[in-house]
Amino acid sequence: MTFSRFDLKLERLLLDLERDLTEATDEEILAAARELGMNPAMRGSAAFFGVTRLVGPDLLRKKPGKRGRSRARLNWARNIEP
Amino acid sequence: MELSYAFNALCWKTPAAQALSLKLVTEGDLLRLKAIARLHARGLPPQIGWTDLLQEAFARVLEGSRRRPEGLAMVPFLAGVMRSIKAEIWRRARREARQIPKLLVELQATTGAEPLSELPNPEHSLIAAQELAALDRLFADDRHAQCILTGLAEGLSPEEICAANRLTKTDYDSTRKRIRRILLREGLRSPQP
Repeated sequence: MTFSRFDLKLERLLLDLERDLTEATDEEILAAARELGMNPAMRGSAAFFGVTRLVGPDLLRKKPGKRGRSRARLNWARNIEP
Repeated sequence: MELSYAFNALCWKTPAAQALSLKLVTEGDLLRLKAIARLHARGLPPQIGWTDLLQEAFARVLEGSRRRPEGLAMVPFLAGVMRSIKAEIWRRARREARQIPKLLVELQATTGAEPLSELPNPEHSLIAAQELAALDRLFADDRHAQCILTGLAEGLSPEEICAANRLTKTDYDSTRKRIRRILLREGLRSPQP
């Protein structure tokens, strides 16, 4: 078995697509949201799930409270930092 | 008690929401970044989701551990922070893999004379291969899009992709628009249960 550099190919591709999405206009974003039946202008729009509000597993994983914010921050840090 | 917890959780502001309150980003930027986070979450270990990537990037900016270079817009800056978080995750995974001697021996045997520090992580390669296939499937009905994605993954320029696939500049530009629309739609869709 040999390892080909799929990871490099994927990173190259994602970097290019990232640049493309960075340049997406607000109109294109709104059109994509509308195709999904979302209205980002509406308060509580599903378009912001996972962004301004957490849903699903995140809701259960992070326990907010008095020190909720710092605890959740630590959880993220534990997830990704050595 | 459970209800109160759920209510607190819904009211609790995520780092992204805090950044919006502070006017560091607009709502449009947040949606753009959501799509970018979803894109970069492709190729991450499955236990780390796109929300982790996105919120951690915002958290690092808010706490000041990442400073935005002057003149760089917030969206490309945060996209870069997400990329560097992703690289950290894989560096850590590689370090952990090196601690398993048996795996090291296998890696050496299968990859020949390559120095250990240059070895790709097998999990990383496998996930990347799966994600490349998933992106290809996403555009299964669009041969031009598949050609462009393959070319970009190979590091070809737009001119080289057009020449290799007999595409005109108009074909290329209109296909890129379709790719962007589909990626935006994928990026904004509701989380899967």
